[in-house]
Amino acid sequence: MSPAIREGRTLRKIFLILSTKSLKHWSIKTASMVLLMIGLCSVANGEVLRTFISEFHREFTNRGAPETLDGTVFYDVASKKLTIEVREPLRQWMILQGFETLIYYPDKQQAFRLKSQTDAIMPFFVVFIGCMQEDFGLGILGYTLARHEKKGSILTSFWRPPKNLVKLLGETILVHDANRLVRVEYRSPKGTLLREGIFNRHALFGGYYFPLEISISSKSKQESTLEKVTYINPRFNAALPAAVKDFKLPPGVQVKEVDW
Amino acid sequence: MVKLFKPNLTKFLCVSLALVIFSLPMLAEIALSQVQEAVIEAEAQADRDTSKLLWFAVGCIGSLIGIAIASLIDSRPPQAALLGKSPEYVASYTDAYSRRCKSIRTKYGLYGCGTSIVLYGLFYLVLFVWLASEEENLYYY
Repeated sequence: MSPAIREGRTLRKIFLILSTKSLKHWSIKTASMVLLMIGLCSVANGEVLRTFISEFHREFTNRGAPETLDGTVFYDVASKKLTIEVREPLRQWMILQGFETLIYYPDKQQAFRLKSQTDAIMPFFVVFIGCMQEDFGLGILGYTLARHEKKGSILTSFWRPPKNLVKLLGETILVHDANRLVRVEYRSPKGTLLREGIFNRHALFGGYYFPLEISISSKSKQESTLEKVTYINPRFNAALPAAVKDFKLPPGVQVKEVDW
Repeated sequence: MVKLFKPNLTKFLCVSLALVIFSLPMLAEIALSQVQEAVIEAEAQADRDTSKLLWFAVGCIGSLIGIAIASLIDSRPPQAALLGKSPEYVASYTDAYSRRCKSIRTKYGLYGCGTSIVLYGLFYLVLFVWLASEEENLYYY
């Protein structure tokens, strides 16, 4: 067994222990989680994820015909900058970094700059990158491991929400099959299934399995949505194109500033 | 040759102009339907994202200050809803989302404020009546 894999398994055990109620002080737990995440990112064959590039196809269905979208995602881990180049149904660039989202239309020389007080995120990519964490990031959010079941290669873990959010959030269930995250279920406090994520066709990098097919369905009284994302030709640690890395709006573009 | 060319050019210009004139309403309708769709989706999303109970409670507890906060705080629409959408859609969606969020917050904040005023009023009325009856009893003693 290589030292990297041995270290990885040790860190994963520590992760599970830290996720339980044994460490009650939130500051110690948070600091430990951060250090653990840094450690986990650098483990397993010494591969550290620095960049990610992939074409993708997205289908979103909400009360009608599905809307399809084709494009490319570019992610820079160091700057936490996510760039999405949409090619169909129209040409659009969306750059998410920190609290700012820039939406640029090259064909119309128009742009929108949205500034908010919270991080700009794209859920279908957050779900993808969240697979780098054993607990899908639940530990950092304050979830604790209530119990787990193992049947053959399938590990099902049940996560309880933070105490102050017990009335709003229900249990979250993670299902791993041979270290691959295959399903996530978010339930209401009454146990009703609110949202389900199904992950298939995993690609291995740095000891982690990244799902290349993601299907997220949500059901409520008001709406029922289904989002399917397929990553095509993923490239890990490939050089980002200069146009993406040093993206700047061309001169003469009309920018509408929107403060949130 | 020039005589032949002129009527044909005139015909061509007339047909082109007719096509442009007749297609303008259709283009306008397509743009309008995108705006309408954006507004409908944005308002529905704002309804889902804004907690009416929370802002009712803020109005109850915070009173007028709570309502002021409700009308000043801005909202952040989900970026995923803007992915692959036209500039007209994005502009309409962001405006409608923000407007709807502020409207819900202010409305429910006002409901909460009104409820707290009524409850306080009832409380003081009961207290006043009780104190008045106690005062009468004192006189008798």
